[in-house]
Amino acid sequence: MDFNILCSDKTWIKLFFLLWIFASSVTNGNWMYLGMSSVAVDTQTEKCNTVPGLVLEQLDLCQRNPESLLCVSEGARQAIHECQNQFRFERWNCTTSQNYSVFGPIMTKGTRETAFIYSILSAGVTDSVTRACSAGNLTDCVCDPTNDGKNSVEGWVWGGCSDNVQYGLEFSRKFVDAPEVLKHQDTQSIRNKMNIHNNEVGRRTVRDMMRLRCRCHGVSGSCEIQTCWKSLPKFSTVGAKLKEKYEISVRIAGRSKRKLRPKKTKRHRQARIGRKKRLSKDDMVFVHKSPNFCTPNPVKGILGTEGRLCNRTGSGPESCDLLCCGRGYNTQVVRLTDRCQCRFIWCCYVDCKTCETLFDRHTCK
Amino acid sequence: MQLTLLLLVLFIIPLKGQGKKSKLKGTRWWSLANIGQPSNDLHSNTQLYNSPSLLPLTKRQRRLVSKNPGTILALMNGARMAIEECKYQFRNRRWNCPTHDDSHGGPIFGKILQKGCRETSFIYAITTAAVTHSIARACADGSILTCNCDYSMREPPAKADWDWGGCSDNAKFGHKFSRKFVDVLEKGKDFRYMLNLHNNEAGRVHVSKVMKRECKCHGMSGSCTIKTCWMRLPTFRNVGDKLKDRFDGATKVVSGNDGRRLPKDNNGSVRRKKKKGKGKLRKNKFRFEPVNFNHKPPGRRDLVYFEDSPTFCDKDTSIDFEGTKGRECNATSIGIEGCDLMCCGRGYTSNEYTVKERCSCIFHWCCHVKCEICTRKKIRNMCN
Repeated sequence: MDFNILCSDKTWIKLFFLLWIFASSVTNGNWMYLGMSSVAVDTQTEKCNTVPGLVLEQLDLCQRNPESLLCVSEGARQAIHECQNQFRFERWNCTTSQNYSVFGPIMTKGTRETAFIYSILSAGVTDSVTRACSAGNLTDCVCDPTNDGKNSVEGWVWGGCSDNVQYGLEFSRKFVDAPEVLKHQDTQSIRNKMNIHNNEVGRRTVRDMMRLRCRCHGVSGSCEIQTCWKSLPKFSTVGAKLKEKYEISVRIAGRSKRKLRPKKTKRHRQARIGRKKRLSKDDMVFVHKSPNFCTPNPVKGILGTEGRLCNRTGSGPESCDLLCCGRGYNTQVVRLTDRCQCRFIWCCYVDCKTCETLFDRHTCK
Repeated sequence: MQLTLLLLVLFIIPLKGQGKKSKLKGTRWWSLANIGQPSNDLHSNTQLYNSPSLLPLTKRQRRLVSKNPGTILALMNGARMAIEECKYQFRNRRWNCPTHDDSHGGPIFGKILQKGCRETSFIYAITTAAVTHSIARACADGSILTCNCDYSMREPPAKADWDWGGCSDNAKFGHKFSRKFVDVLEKGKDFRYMLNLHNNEAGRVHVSKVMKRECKCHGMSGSCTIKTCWMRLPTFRNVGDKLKDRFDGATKVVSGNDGRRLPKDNNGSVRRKKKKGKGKLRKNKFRFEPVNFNHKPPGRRDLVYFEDSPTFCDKDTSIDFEGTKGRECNATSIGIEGCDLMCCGRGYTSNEYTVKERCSCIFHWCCHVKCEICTRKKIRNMCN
């Protein structure tokens, strides 16, 4: 797993920082830049303060545990990767830019997309820190010791290394929430509240998806003794779950400063429903309506959908009908040369033919 | 010298004017859709020739119609079908195929026909397809004097447990007639004409090449001891769906510049392919090349256009379009029918209205149905 290599094998890591320029205003989630693939973090020199954009608490955490920054970096990286994977068919495909704002001007608004970004990054950090615990790459945490040696009712024994998700959660709470908490103290803005809430949604999703895994022991796997441990879900399943939550995310009223309340539409007010509806801690929340992402708007950081690959038949979000916003699609004929009809010939080589296939590729106008 | 120049100029100006005027002449038959039921007298040609319903037709078209008595009804039906289908296919889009009621040769679809955008291509294709379809059906119905069911298929394929029989739609006649009738005015060497011809042909092919076999069983209580089959045209909705898909994937083209417009002889003179009867209209075939050379060159069934569509957001008199103000939209959809895209970001207003509907109906023996009347509230969203 590339994560383990990255987190443990320090010699493999190139010790360099790219030029960090402190981008002051737009960059709400500056630490997210740790996840850009071109950045690797120097852990041996313990110069946490050379990472600009980290707030005091984050610096503190980094100095106490320099390896953790590497895990944050890895967590952010897998989160960005997963975000792009989940949104590969949508009009907004989790575009990243090369500057410090990472996701560009879209982060200035509290849209659904921002909500997803926050929750998946926080989930990513939780995941990677927890994994690093289990792998023994962090000095101040170990496998989850709470159930060690206990017998379960079903007859198996707790054993092996349960992933210490509690540590991951705690760490993520401290590290990821820190800038938002600080800003919230400063501005009392609902936006920071929203981010903190969505961070927590991400973390809770990881926690709730922990699964029990077991292994049999005994003569030829006869299962006389069974040991079980708790293990983290695959991060792609976390991403999929968060995508589901993104689809049903709740819009909150932008006015209230302290408490998050679901925004009531005119219809709700008229029908007097939704009054008792409470916001669950598992609901992703957003403040602003999303733009349609159809036409390019560099100021808002929207690239538009021109030139995107789409599916001519079908009705999902990747269909040309929805993705191209009614502009229609272009067709290209792609020639694919491939090896085919391979045969093994004694001894010892494989003989293949080259096949050419033509297929249509559709891109938005 | 000056005098000749002046004369020349004087000569050219009216010619030019005429050219512009006649640009859309070939489309005037579309207004047949607005004419009431004409006298469909199959035999008295002279009467038909002077019938007011033939006003929007050109001389050649009139001659064709009077040679084939009965076609006028099918043409009217076709024009109506085309308009209806166009409106249906575009009901969710900003440009919703608006038409104007002008029964005497006015442009039915308005000035958008002077453009060369995707919508224009679709209009040409769907109207031609509709004529082909409706003529082919009318042949099978027996309402055209000069054509009949298509009996050309005699031998069923080997090992088939069925026989040709019944009445097949006469797609061949439909194809031929529509080529003569529709393409007749798209002549000249203008790029636009060539484009129209191509789109017309695409519309026709979508009808006549997509026939389906339909069968029926005979024998004791449908025991299928004898099975007869015939070829049937697809429903026009089906054709419309296909053409809409082609509209989405239409190719923006320029004329090819490899000089291969006509095959040439060794001595440089243009050799005209002589086919009996037909071929006359297709001899000036242009080669279309996609604007972006990476894209697929358009096939026979693909629609082509040369001009980008306007956004269709605001009122635009140059294309006779009212804009999307006041259009109904879907507040929850992210597609083109959604308020976000339909209203072009201007926002929308929602009104609640009540509808009375019949509900909880019960059948009583014998024989009536009793219903209650329910009032329901519905919401209508309209673009600002």
